Amino acid sequence: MSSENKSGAGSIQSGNFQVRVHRDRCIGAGHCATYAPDVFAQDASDGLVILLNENPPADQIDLVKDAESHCPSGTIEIVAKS
Amino acid sequence: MSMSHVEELEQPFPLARTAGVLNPPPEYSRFRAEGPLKKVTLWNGSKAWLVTRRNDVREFMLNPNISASPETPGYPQLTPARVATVKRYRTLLTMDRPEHTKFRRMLTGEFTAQRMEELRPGVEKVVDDLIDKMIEKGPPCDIIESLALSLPISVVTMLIGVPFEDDSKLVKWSADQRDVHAKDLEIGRRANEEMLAYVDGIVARQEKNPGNGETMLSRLVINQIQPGHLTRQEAVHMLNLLYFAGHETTANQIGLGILDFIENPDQREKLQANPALLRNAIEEMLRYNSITHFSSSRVATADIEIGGQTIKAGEGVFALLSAANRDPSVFPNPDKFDIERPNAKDHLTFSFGVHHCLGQPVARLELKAVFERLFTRLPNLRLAVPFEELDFKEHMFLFGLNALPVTW
Repeated sequence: MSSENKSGAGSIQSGNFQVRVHRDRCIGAGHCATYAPDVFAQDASDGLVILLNENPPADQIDLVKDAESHCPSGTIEIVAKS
Repeated sequence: MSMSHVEELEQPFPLARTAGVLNPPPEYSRFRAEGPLKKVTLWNGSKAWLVTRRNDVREFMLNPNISASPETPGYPQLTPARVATVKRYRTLLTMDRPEHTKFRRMLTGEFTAQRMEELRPGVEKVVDDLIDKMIEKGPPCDIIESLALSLPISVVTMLIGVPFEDDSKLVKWSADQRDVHAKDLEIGRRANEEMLAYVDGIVARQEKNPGNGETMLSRLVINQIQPGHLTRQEAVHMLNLLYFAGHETTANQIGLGILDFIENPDQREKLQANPALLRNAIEEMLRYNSITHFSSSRVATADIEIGGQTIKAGEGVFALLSAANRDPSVFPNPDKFDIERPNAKDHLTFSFGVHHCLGQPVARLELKAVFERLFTRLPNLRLAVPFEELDFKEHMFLFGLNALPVTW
Protein backbone atom coordinates (compact mmCIF):
# COMPACT_ATOMS: atom_id res chain seq x y z
CA MET A 1 0.00 0.00 0.00
CA SER A 2 2.78 2.45 0.80
CA SER A 3 4.52 3.73 -2.25
CA GLU A 4 7.77 4.83 -0.62
CA ASN A 5 9.10 1.34 -0.06
CA LYS A 6 12.44 1.31 -1.74
CA SER A 7 14.11 -1.55 0.03
CA GLY A 8 13.89 -4.07 -2.72
CA ALA A 9 10.10 -3.94 -2.84
CA GLY A 10 10.16 -4.93 -6.48
CA SER A 11 12.11 -8.08 -5.86
CA ILE A 12 10.18 -9.39 -2.88
CA GLN A 13 6.87 -10.00 -4.59
CA SER A 14 7.31 -13.71 -4.20
CA GLY A 15 7.67 -13.31 -0.45
CA ASN A 16 11.34 -14.10 -0.73
CA PHE A 17 12.44 -11.47 1.77
CA GLN A 18 14.29 -10.95 4.96
CA VAL A 19 13.90 -8.33 7.70
CA ARG A 20 16.72 -6.44 9.38
CA VAL A 21 16.50 -3.90 12.18
CA HIS A 22 19.01 -1.16 12.94
CA ARG A 23 18.36 -1.03 16.65
CA ASP A 24 20.76 1.89 17.21
CA ARG A 25 18.29 4.07 15.26
CA CYS A 26 15.18 2.88 17.14
CA ILE A 27 13.19 5.51 19.07
CA GLY A 28 10.66 3.06 20.48
CA ALA A 29 7.61 4.44 18.67
CA GLY A 30 6.22 0.92 18.60
CA HIS A 31 4.44 1.16 15.23
CA CYS A 32 6.15 -2.00 13.94
CA ALA A 33 4.72 -4.09 16.76
CA THR A 34 1.28 -2.65 16.02
CA TYR A 35 1.42 -3.31 12.28
CA ALA A 36 3.18 -6.68 12.29
CA PRO A 37 3.01 -8.18 15.78
CA ASP A 38 4.17 -11.59 14.56
CA VAL A 39 7.41 -10.10 13.31
CA PHE A 40 8.19 -7.27 15.74
CA ALA A 41 7.78 -6.71 19.46
CA GLN A 42 8.62 -3.89 21.81
CA ASP A 43 11.01 -4.38 24.69
CA ALA A 44 8.91 -3.85 27.82
CA SER A 45 11.63 -1.93 29.63
CA ASP A 46 12.91 0.54 27.03
CA GLY A 47 10.30 0.27 24.27
CA LEU A 48 12.90 -0.54 21.61
CA VAL A 49 12.27 -3.00 18.81
CA ILE A 50 12.73 -6.74 19.15
CA LEU A 51 12.85 -8.67 15.90
CA LEU A 52 10.87 -11.87 16.45
CA ASN A 53 11.27 -13.36 13.02
CA GLU A 54 13.82 -12.24 10.45
CA ASN A 55 12.36 -14.61 7.86
CA PRO A 56 8.61 -13.99 8.03
CA PRO A 57 6.26 -16.07 5.90
CA ALA A 58 5.20 -14.62 2.55
CA ASP A 59 1.74 -13.66 3.80
CA GLN A 60 3.32 -11.16 6.21
CA ILE A 61 4.88 -9.01 3.50
CA ASP A 62 2.19 -6.29 3.43
CA LEU A 63 2.23 -5.94 7.19
CA VAL A 64 6.02 -5.77 7.26
CA LYS A 65 5.97 -3.14 4.50
CA ASP A 66 3.49 -1.10 6.56
CA ALA A 67 5.78 -1.44 9.57
CA GLU A 68 8.77 -0.34 7.50
CA SER A 69 7.07 2.67 5.91
CA HIS A 70 5.60 3.91 9.22
CA CYS A 71 8.77 3.39 11.24
CA PRO A 72 9.69 7.03 11.89
CA SER A 73 13.35 6.36 12.58
CA GLY A 74 14.25 4.23 9.57
CA THR A 75 15.07 1.29 11.83
CA ILE A 76 13.48 -1.42 9.68
CA GLU A 77 14.95 -2.68 6.45
CA ILE A 78 13.42 -5.19 4.06
CA VAL A 79 15.93 -7.00 1.90
CA ALA A 80 15.42 -9.45 -0.92
CA LYS A 81 16.85 -12.88 -0.27
CA SER A 82 19.55 -13.77 -2.76
CA MET B 1 17.82 34.73 -13.10
CA SER B 2 17.79 38.57 -13.01
CA MET B 3 17.47 40.44 -9.73
CA SER B 4 14.05 41.84 -10.57
CA HIS B 5 12.81 38.34 -11.26
CA VAL B 6 14.02 37.21 -7.86
CA GLU B 7 12.25 40.15 -6.20
CA GLU B 8 9.07 39.30 -8.01
CA LEU B 9 9.16 35.72 -6.79
CA GLU B 10 9.89 36.60 -3.19
CA GLN B 11 7.48 34.59 -1.10
CA PRO B 12 6.93 35.47 2.56
CA PHE B 13 6.45 32.83 5.23
CA PRO B 14 4.52 32.00 7.43
CA LEU B 15 1.28 32.31 5.47
CA ALA B 16 -2.33 32.75 6.58
CA ARG B 17 -5.26 30.34 6.31
CA THR B 18 -7.11 32.35 3.67
CA ALA B 19 -8.95 29.39 2.10
CA GLY B 20 -11.10 28.54 5.09
CA VAL B 21 -9.76 28.25 8.61
CA LEU B 22 -9.77 24.45 8.54
CA ASN B 23 -7.49 24.39 5.50
CA PRO B 24 -3.77 25.14 5.38
CA PRO B 25 -2.70 28.26 3.45
CA PRO B 26 -3.82 27.78 -0.19
CA GLU B 27 -0.32 28.65 -1.47
CA TYR B 28 0.85 25.21 -0.33
CA SER B 29 -1.10 23.59 -3.20
CA ARG B 30 0.74 25.77 -5.71
CA PHE B 31 4.13 25.09 -4.11
CA ARG B 32 3.53 21.33 -4.17
CA ALA B 33 2.58 21.49 -7.84
CA GLU B 34 5.51 23.73 -8.81
CA GLY B 35 8.35 21.67 -7.45
CA PRO B 36 9.86 19.80 -4.54
CA LEU B 37 11.32 22.89 -2.84
CA LYS B 38 10.03 26.44 -2.50
CA LYS B 39 12.26 29.28 -1.37
CA VAL B 40 10.62 31.64 1.12
CA THR B 41 11.63 34.83 2.88
CA LEU B 42 11.31 35.11 6.64
CA TRP B 43 10.60 38.17 8.81
CA ASN B 44 14.30 38.94 9.23
CA GLY B 45 14.99 38.77 5.50
CA SER B 46 16.66 35.38 5.68
CA LYS B 47 15.69 32.62 3.27
CA ALA B 48 14.45 29.11 3.95
CA TRP B 49 13.13 26.19 1.95
CA LEU B 50 9.65 24.73 2.24
CA VAL B 51 9.18 21.03 1.58
CA THR B 52 5.49 20.44 0.86
CA ARG B 53 5.12 17.02 -0.81
CA ARG B 54 4.28 14.19 1.54
CA ASN B 55 6.90 11.68 0.42
CA ASP B 56 9.57 14.38 0.25
CA VAL B 57 8.79 15.51 3.81
CA ARG B 58 9.05 11.91 5.00
CA GLU B 59 12.35 11.41 3.19
CA PHE B 60 13.81 14.69 4.41
CA MET B 61 12.87 14.00 8.03
CA LEU B 62 14.61 10.62 7.83
CA ASN B 63 17.85 12.20 6.58
CA PRO B 64 20.56 11.99 9.25
CA ASN B 65 22.10 15.27 8.05
CA ILE B 66 19.53 17.61 9.57
CA SER B 67 19.58 19.51 12.85
CA ALA B 68 16.62 20.54 15.01
CA SER B 69 18.70 22.85 17.18
CA PRO B 70 18.15 26.62 17.01
CA GLU B 71 21.84 26.95 17.87
CA THR B 72 22.89 25.39 14.55
CA PRO B 73 23.82 28.18 12.11
CA GLY B 74 21.12 28.57 9.48
CA TYR B 75 18.24 27.32 11.66
CA PRO B 76 15.12 28.95 10.16
CA GLN B 77 13.53 31.54 12.40
CA LEU B 78 9.73 31.36 11.99
CA THR B 79 9.04 34.52 14.02
CA PRO B 80 10.89 36.37 16.81
CA ALA B 81 8.46 34.97 19.40
CA ARG B 82 8.92 31.39 18.27
CA VAL B 83 12.69 31.63 18.28
CA ALA B 84 12.65 33.14 21.78
CA THR B 85 10.47 30.25 22.97
CA VAL B 86 12.54 27.42 21.50
CA LYS B 87 15.77 28.93 22.74
CA ARG B 88 14.53 28.97 26.33
CA TYR B 89 14.35 25.20 26.59
CA ARG B 90 16.92 22.51 26.23
CA THR B 91 14.54 19.68 25.44
CA LEU B 92 14.21 16.68 23.18
CA LEU B 93 12.49 18.91 20.63
CA THR B 94 15.68 20.80 19.80
CA MET B 95 18.39 18.24 20.56
CA ASP B 96 20.35 16.38 17.92
CA ARG B 97 21.92 12.95 18.04
CA PRO B 98 23.61 11.52 20.02
CA GLU B 99 22.36 13.69 22.90
CA HIS B 100 18.75 13.33 21.71
CA THR B 101 19.00 9.52 21.69
CA LYS B 102 20.41 9.49 25.23
CA PHE B 103 17.60 11.58 26.71
CA ARG B 104 14.80 10.12 24.61
CA ARG B 105 15.69 6.60 25.69
CA MET B 106 15.19 7.62 29.30
CA LEU B 107 11.50 8.00 28.38
CA THR B 108 10.71 5.49 25.61
CA GLY B 109 9.90 2.76 28.11
CA GLU B 110 7.14 4.99 29.49
CA PHE B 111 5.25 4.97 26.17
CA THR B 112 5.12 1.30 25.22
CA ALA B 113 1.94 -0.44 24.11
CA GLN B 114 1.97 -2.29 27.43
CA ARG B 115 2.13 0.95 29.44
CA MET B 116 -0.71 2.35 27.34
CA GLU B 117 -2.85 -0.68 28.21
CA GLU B 118 -2.15 0.01 31.89
CA LEU B 119 -3.14 3.63 31.42
CA ARG B 120 -6.30 2.91 29.43
CA PRO B 121 -8.86 2.24 32.21
CA GLY B 122 -7.83 5.46 33.97
CA VAL B 123 -8.16 7.47 30.76
CA GLU B 124 -11.58 5.99 30.01
CA LYS B 125 -12.78 6.77 33.52
CA VAL B 126 -11.72 10.42 33.18
CA VAL B 127 -13.64 10.71 29.89
CA ASP B 128 -16.75 9.14 31.43
CA ASP B 129 -16.54 11.42 34.46
CA LEU B 130 -16.07 14.55 32.35
CA ILE B 131 -19.06 13.71 30.13
CA ASP B 132 -21.11 12.94 33.28
CA LYS B 133 -20.26 16.40 34.58
CA MET B 134 -21.21 18.05 31.30
CA ILE B 135 -24.59 16.30 31.35
CA GLU B 136 -25.13 17.12 34.99
CA LYS B 137 -24.47 20.84 34.41
CA GLY B 138 -26.53 20.84 31.22
CA PRO B 139 -25.98 22.65 27.93
CA PRO B 140 -24.58 24.85 26.60
CA CYS B 141 -20.93 24.39 27.48
CA ASP B 142 -17.47 25.07 26.14
CA ILE B 143 -16.36 21.54 25.36
CA ILE B 144 -12.72 22.62 25.12
CA GLU B 145 -12.74 23.50 28.78
CA SER B 146 -15.08 20.71 29.91
CA LEU B 147 -13.50 17.86 28.00
CA ALA B 148 -10.87 18.53 25.33
CA LEU B 149 -8.48 20.32 27.68
CA SER B 150 -9.42 18.71 31.00
CA LEU B 151 -8.78 15.19 29.74
CA PRO B 152 -5.18 15.58 28.56
CA ILE B 153 -4.26 17.59 31.65
CA SER B 154 -5.57 14.74 33.82
CA VAL B 155 -3.80 12.18 31.68
CA VAL B 156 -0.43 13.90 31.54
CA THR B 157 -0.41 14.36 35.29
CA MET B 158 -1.50 10.73 35.69
CA LEU B 159 1.34 9.67 33.41
CA ILE B 160 4.01 11.72 35.16
CA GLY B 161 2.53 10.84 38.52
CA VAL B 162 2.27 14.36 39.94
CA PRO B 163 -0.96 16.37 39.78
CA PHE B 164 -0.73 20.01 38.83
CA GLU B 165 -1.80 22.17 41.75
CA ASP B 166 -3.69 24.54 39.50
CA ASP B 167 -4.59 23.44 35.96
CA SER B 168 -5.40 26.98 34.87
CA LYS B 169 -1.78 27.97 35.53
CA LEU B 170 -0.52 25.27 33.20
CA VAL B 171 -2.94 26.41 30.50
CA LYS B 172 -1.92 30.04 30.91
CA TRP B 173 1.84 29.32 30.95
CA SER B 174 1.38 27.31 27.80
CA ALA B 175 -0.74 29.89 25.99
CA ASP B 176 1.64 32.69 26.95
CA GLN B 177 4.43 30.96 25.07
CA ARG B 178 2.65 29.69 21.98
CA ASP B 179 1.60 32.83 20.10
CA VAL B 180 4.13 32.87 17.27
CA HIS B 181 3.17 36.46 16.39
CA ALA B 182 3.47 37.79 19.95
CA LYS B 183 4.97 41.27 19.99
CA ASP B 184 5.73 41.41 23.70
CA LEU B 185 8.36 38.73 24.27
CA GLU B 186 8.38 39.51 27.99
CA ILE B 187 5.08 37.63 28.48
CA GLY B 188 6.58 34.41 27.17
CA ARG B 189 9.78 34.91 29.13
CA ARG B 190 7.90 35.34 32.38
CA ALA B 191 5.65 32.32 31.74
CA ASN B 192 8.73 30.23 31.06
CA GLU B 193 10.41 31.37 34.26
CA GLU B 194 7.35 30.69 36.41
CA MET B 195 6.76 27.28 34.87
CA LEU B 196 10.38 26.21 35.30
CA ALA B 197 10.34 27.33 38.95
CA TYR B 198 7.14 25.39 39.54
CA VAL B 199 8.42 22.21 37.91
CA ASP B 200 11.72 22.57 39.76
CA GLY B 201 9.70 22.35 42.97
CA ILE B 202 8.00 19.17 41.74
CA VAL B 203 11.35 17.52 40.96
CA ALA B 204 12.91 18.72 44.23
CA ARG B 205 10.07 17.19 46.25
CA GLN B 206 10.41 13.90 44.40
CA GLU B 207 14.16 13.86 45.02
CA LYS B 208 13.50 14.19 48.76
CA ASN B 209 10.98 11.35 48.67
CA PRO B 210 11.83 9.32 45.58
CA GLY B 211 9.26 6.59 46.18
CA ASN B 212 9.62 3.07 44.80
CA GLY B 213 9.42 3.64 41.07
CA GLU B 214 5.63 3.61 41.03
CA THR B 215 5.36 6.75 38.85
CA MET B 216 7.28 8.09 35.86
CA LEU B 217 8.81 10.85 37.94
CA SER B 218 9.80 8.42 40.67
CA ARG B 219 11.50 6.21 38.05
CA LEU B 220 13.26 9.23 36.53
CA VAL B 221 14.63 10.19 39.93
CA ILE B 222 15.72 6.67 40.87
CA ASN B 223 17.02 5.47 37.49
CA GLN B 224 18.37 8.69 35.98
CA ILE B 225 18.85 11.55 38.45
CA GLN B 226 20.30 9.62 41.41
CA PRO B 227 22.89 7.68 39.35
CA GLY B 228 23.92 10.97 37.70
CA HIS B 229 22.62 10.36 34.14
CA LEU B 230 20.30 13.37 34.33
CA THR B 231 20.82 16.65 36.17
CA ARG B 232 18.02 18.38 38.06
CA GLN B 233 17.93 21.11 35.45
CA GLU B 234 17.75 18.64 32.57
CA ALA B 235 14.95 16.81 34.36
CA VAL B 236 13.05 20.08 34.88
CA HIS B 237 13.25 20.96 31.19
CA MET B 238 12.23 17.43 30.24
CA LEU B 239 9.18 17.48 32.51
CA ASN B 240 8.30 20.94 31.33
CA LEU B 241 8.14 19.62 27.78
CA LEU B 242 6.03 16.64 28.85
CA TYR B 243 3.50 18.84 30.66
CA PHE B 244 3.21 21.20 27.69
CA ALA B 245 3.35 18.72 24.84
CA GLY B 246 1.13 16.35 26.78
CA HIS B 247 -1.83 18.65 27.12
CA GLU B 248 -2.19 21.35 24.49
CA THR B 249 -1.56 19.11 21.49
CA THR B 250 -4.18 16.56 22.39
CA ALA B 251 -6.62 19.21 23.58
CA ASN B 252 -6.46 20.91 20.18
CA GLN B 253 -6.83 17.62 18.37
CA ILE B 254 -9.86 16.58 20.40
CA GLY B 255 -11.53 19.95 19.90
CA LEU B 256 -10.96 19.97 16.16
CA GLY B 257 -12.04 16.32 15.93
CA ILE B 258 -15.35 17.14 17.58
CA LEU B 259 -15.79 20.01 15.13
CA ASP B 260 -14.92 17.72 12.18
CA PHE B 261 -17.79 15.42 13.09
CA ILE B 262 -20.21 18.26 13.81
CA GLU B 263 -19.41 19.79 10.40
CA ASN B 264 -19.59 16.44 8.59
CA PRO B 265 -22.79 14.73 9.80
CA ASP B 266 -22.48 12.04 7.11
CA GLN B 267 -19.13 10.96 8.60
CA ARG B 268 -20.59 11.00 12.08
CA GLU B 269 -23.45 8.75 10.97
CA LYS B 270 -20.97 6.35 9.40
CA LEU B 271 -18.98 6.12 12.61
CA GLN B 272 -22.08 5.63 14.74
CA ALA B 273 -23.30 2.91 12.38
CA ASN B 274 -19.93 1.17 12.31
CA PRO B 275 -17.75 1.68 15.40
CA ALA B 276 -15.02 -0.44 13.77
CA LEU B 277 -14.21 2.68 11.73
CA LEU B 278 -13.00 4.48 14.83
CA ARG B 279 -9.32 3.60 14.49
CA ASN B 280 -9.18 4.91 10.93
CA ALA B 281 -11.35 7.90 11.83
CA ILE B 282 -8.76 8.95 14.39
CA GLU B 283 -5.98 8.74 11.80
CA GLU B 284 -8.10 10.82 9.41
CA MET B 285 -8.70 13.39 12.14
CA LEU B 286 -4.96 13.61 12.72
CA ARG B 287 -4.31 13.98 9.00
CA TYR B 288 -7.06 16.47 8.32
CA ASN B 289 -6.44 18.82 11.25
CA SER B 290 -2.62 18.91 11.28
CA ILE B 291 -2.34 20.85 14.52
CA THR B 292 1.45 21.04 14.06
CA HIS B 293 0.89 23.57 11.31
CA PHE B 294 4.25 25.37 11.38
CA SER B 295 6.37 22.24 11.95
CA SER B 296 9.05 20.99 11.39
CA SER B 297 11.94 23.49 11.41
CA ARG B 298 15.32 22.05 10.51
CA VAL B 299 18.67 23.09 9.11
CA ALA B 300 20.71 20.96 6.73
CA THR B 301 24.13 19.98 8.10
CA ALA B 302 25.25 18.59 4.73
CA ASP B 303 23.94 18.98 1.18
CA ILE B 304 20.64 17.12 0.82
CA GLU B 305 18.92 16.26 -2.42
CA ILE B 306 15.12 16.34 -2.47
CA GLY B 307 13.31 15.51 -5.70
CA GLY B 308 16.38 16.36 -7.78
CA GLN B 309 16.96 19.75 -6.12
CA THR B 310 19.65 20.48 -3.56
CA ILE B 311 19.34 21.96 -0.10
CA LYS B 312 22.83 23.17 0.75
CA ALA B 313 24.50 22.61 4.11
CA GLY B 314 23.56 25.48 6.42
CA GLU B 315 20.24 26.25 4.74
CA GLY B 316 17.05 26.34 6.79
CA VAL B 317 14.06 24.18 5.97
CA PHE B 318 10.42 23.96 7.00
CA ALA B 319 9.34 20.42 6.20
CA LEU B 320 5.64 21.21 6.37
CA LEU B 321 3.67 18.39 7.95
CA SER B 322 0.39 20.22 7.31
CA ALA B 323 1.18 20.55 3.59
CA ALA B 324 2.26 16.90 3.42
CA ASN B 325 -1.05 15.81 4.92
CA ARG B 326 -2.99 17.52 2.11
CA ASP B 327 -0.82 16.21 -0.75
CA PRO B 328 -3.35 15.11 -3.40
CA SER B 329 -0.90 12.64 -4.96
CA VAL B 330 -1.00 10.63 -1.72
CA PHE B 331 -4.41 11.62 -0.34
CA PRO B 332 -6.90 12.09 -3.21
CA ASN B 333 -9.45 14.84 -2.58
CA PRO B 334 -7.28 15.89 0.37
CA ASP B 335 -9.53 18.64 1.74
CA LYS B 336 -12.34 16.19 2.40
CA PHE B 337 -12.68 14.72 5.90
CA ASP B 338 -13.24 11.07 5.04
CA ILE B 339 -13.06 8.52 7.85
CA GLU B 340 -12.94 5.68 5.32
CA ARG B 341 -9.85 7.04 3.56
CA PRO B 342 -7.79 3.87 3.10
CA ASN B 343 -4.38 5.44 3.75
CA ALA B 344 -5.29 8.04 6.38
CA LYS B 345 -2.60 6.52 8.61
CA ASP B 346 0.09 7.74 6.19
CA HIS B 347 -0.24 11.26 7.61
CA LEU B 348 2.81 12.94 9.12
CA THR B 349 1.08 14.86 11.92
CA PHE B 350 3.36 13.37 14.57
CA SER B 351 6.32 14.31 12.39
CA PHE B 352 8.84 11.77 11.16
CA GLY B 353 12.42 10.89 11.92
CA VAL B 354 13.99 10.76 15.37
CA HIS B 355 11.75 13.56 16.65
CA HIS B 356 8.54 11.64 15.89
CA CYS B 357 6.14 12.53 18.71
CA LEU B 358 7.05 10.64 21.87
CA GLY B 359 3.54 10.91 23.26
CA GLN B 360 1.66 9.78 20.14
CA PRO B 361 0.38 6.54 21.70
CA VAL B 362 -1.09 8.56 24.58
CA ALA B 363 -2.75 10.96 22.14
CA ARG B 364 -4.25 8.05 20.20
CA LEU B 365 -5.42 6.45 23.45
CA GLU B 366 -7.17 9.66 24.51
CA LEU B 367 -8.74 10.25 21.10
CA LYS B 368 -10.07 6.70 21.07
CA ALA B 369 -11.53 7.06 24.57
CA VAL B 370 -13.28 10.32 23.62
CA PHE B 371 -14.67 9.36 20.24
CA GLU B 372 -15.91 5.91 21.21
CA ARG B 373 -18.11 7.61 23.81
CA LEU B 374 -18.94 11.21 22.96
CA PHE B 375 -21.53 10.91 20.19
CA THR B 376 -23.10 7.83 21.74
CA ARG B 377 -23.68 9.65 24.99
CA LEU B 378 -24.56 12.97 23.35
CA PRO B 379 -26.11 12.03 19.98
CA ASN B 380 -27.47 15.55 19.42
CA LEU B 381 -24.19 17.33 20.09
CA ARG B 382 -24.00 20.47 17.93
CA LEU B 383 -22.56 23.98 17.84
CA ALA B 384 -24.11 26.52 20.18
CA VAL B 385 -22.87 29.42 18.04
CA PRO B 386 -22.53 29.91 14.27
CA PHE B 387 -19.31 28.45 12.80
CA GLU B 388 -18.16 31.98 11.87
CA GLU B 389 -18.01 32.92 15.55
CA LEU B 390 -15.60 30.14 16.50
CA ASP B 391 -12.29 31.30 17.92
CA PHE B 392 -9.35 29.45 16.33
CA LYS B 393 -5.68 29.44 17.35
CA GLU B 394 -4.41 30.54 13.97
CA HIS B 395 -1.43 32.38 15.42
CA MET B 396 -0.51 29.74 17.93
CA PHE B 397 2.30 27.31 17.34
CA LEU B 398 -0.26 24.51 17.66
CA PHE B 399 -3.48 24.98 15.69
CA GLY B 400 -6.75 24.42 17.51
CA LEU B 401 -9.76 26.11 19.05
CA ASN B 402 -9.70 28.50 21.99
CA ALA B 403 -13.28 27.55 22.77
CA LEU B 404 -15.96 25.34 21.24
CA PRO B 405 -19.44 26.22 22.54
CA VAL B 406 -21.74 23.23 22.08
CA THR B 407 -25.24 22.21 23.03
CA TRP B 408 -27.16 18.91 22.83
